[in-house]
Amino acid sequence: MIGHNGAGKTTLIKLLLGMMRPSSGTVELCQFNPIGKHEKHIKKQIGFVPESINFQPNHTGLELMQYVAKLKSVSAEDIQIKMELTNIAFAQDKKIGTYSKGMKQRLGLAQAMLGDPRVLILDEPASGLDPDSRQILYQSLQEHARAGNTVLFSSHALNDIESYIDHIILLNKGSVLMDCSIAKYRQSLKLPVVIEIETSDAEASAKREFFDQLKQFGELNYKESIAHLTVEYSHKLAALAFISGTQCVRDLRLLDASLEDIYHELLKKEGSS
Amino acid sequence: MRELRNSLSNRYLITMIIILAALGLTLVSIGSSTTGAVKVDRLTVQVASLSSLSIFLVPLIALFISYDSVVGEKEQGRLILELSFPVTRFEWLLGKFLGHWIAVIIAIIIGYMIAIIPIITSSELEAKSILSFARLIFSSILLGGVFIGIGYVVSVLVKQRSNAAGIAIGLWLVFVMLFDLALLGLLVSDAGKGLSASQVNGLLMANPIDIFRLMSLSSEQVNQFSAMQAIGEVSTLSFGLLTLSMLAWLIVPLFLSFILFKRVKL
Repeated sequence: MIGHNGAGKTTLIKLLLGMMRPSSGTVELCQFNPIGKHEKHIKKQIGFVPESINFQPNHTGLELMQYVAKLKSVSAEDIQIKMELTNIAFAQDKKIGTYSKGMKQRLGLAQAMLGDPRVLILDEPASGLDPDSRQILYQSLQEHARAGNTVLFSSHALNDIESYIDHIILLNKGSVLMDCSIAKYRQSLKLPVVIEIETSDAEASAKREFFDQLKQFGELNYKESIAHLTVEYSHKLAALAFISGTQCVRDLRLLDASLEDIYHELLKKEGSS
Repeated sequence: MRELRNSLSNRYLITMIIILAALGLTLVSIGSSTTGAVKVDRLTVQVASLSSLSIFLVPLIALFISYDSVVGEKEQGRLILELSFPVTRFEWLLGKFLGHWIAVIIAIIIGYMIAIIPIITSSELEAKSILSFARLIFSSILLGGVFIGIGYVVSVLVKQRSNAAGIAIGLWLVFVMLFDLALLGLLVSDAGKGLSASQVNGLLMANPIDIFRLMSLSSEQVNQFSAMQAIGEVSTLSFGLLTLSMLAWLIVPLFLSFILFKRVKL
């Protein structure tokens, strides 16, 4: 789930958690309204990691886990499993007040995963984490999702999450701009594709001729042996066929539109319409 | 349980006990010098002094630990996490209340026990004075609960922690000082002449501190050492009735805070 600051990501999460009542419409989580008589039933099936994690600083990590485990009726073994999984078991007897940001985040994830919740909700879980921790975080989220559970999280770091997610919701000013799988969206948006071409040691005249021909497909920028060709989505395959048929190319890479590009494109569309 | 453990590790509780015990002991030592040769049970005198201590300290302590319990957790972003656990809002606040109250109860009992050690060890005790001491402890505990509940109402209503602190101090002033000043003023002035005993009783019931005063000083021996003597004579309220109205003061604010808390947007 992505969107600008104030787009409504946290509000949506609060609605899902039953922290707020919707001003109109209904909220349904695991087939029930999160507010009302099914509240506890639902809360046992969800794990939540808030944006800024401030556990009681005077408790140890283990004490917090035990507290949550008791409320979720989860066994003691699961505490150890989840703490090992998120790599925080080494600090379980230290006060949370002494934890670093990354450690708090991992503890937050550990408590949320207690009891293997069917739905895991995280509000900007990666903010303030170093690249390594982020990767570990996303990998454990991916594993959890592959086990048949739902993982919903909000983020700003679009490029980071792109390879881990399979569904995307884009919010803007409180409304959903898009809600579908990533592949489908790239396709429907049909963003221009950049082809990076590394030329071989062909003659200068042949190269120039090759470049001139390339220009019919789209915009070309080149510097020494590397050229970037920006082609419209509809010309992508034709351009690729042409490039691979010449002698002047040593290598090529396809730079697909990133989430970032999709995001900017969408907001632009929204702005113009 | 969690809140109690929290208070323990926060050292609030220990501080509370030390304050109550230290002030209590001071009163005991001062009190024994004034009694001199008067043939009165020393514990009875002390109950009167300790009850004045309770009037100031117990509401202060109770408000101090409760005023930020909702708004403070909210400000730190902890509330939304805690409420994502499988607890209802009602259970969460009730658990907090029980924890806070137990902490106050422990502080009162231990603090006052320590305060009367010099008396127990140095003089004979009458059954009557033990009863009045027990009454003091009982009514102090109720008073603590009342002000924790009042603190919660403030905490739920207010948007910022600092505002909650200000309002809590204001309430303390009103209940502990201003209300009685106003009441005394009224009784002394011409307007007060026409007040019947039941009207005075009604006015006293409007302030949990006054109920506490009547409860802890209701035995006649204690009464003669306190400034409440005059009112004590007017007031014909029984201990049971006083306890009931104290319980009402305990339940109503607490109930109000539960209802308000249900509606709080996070």
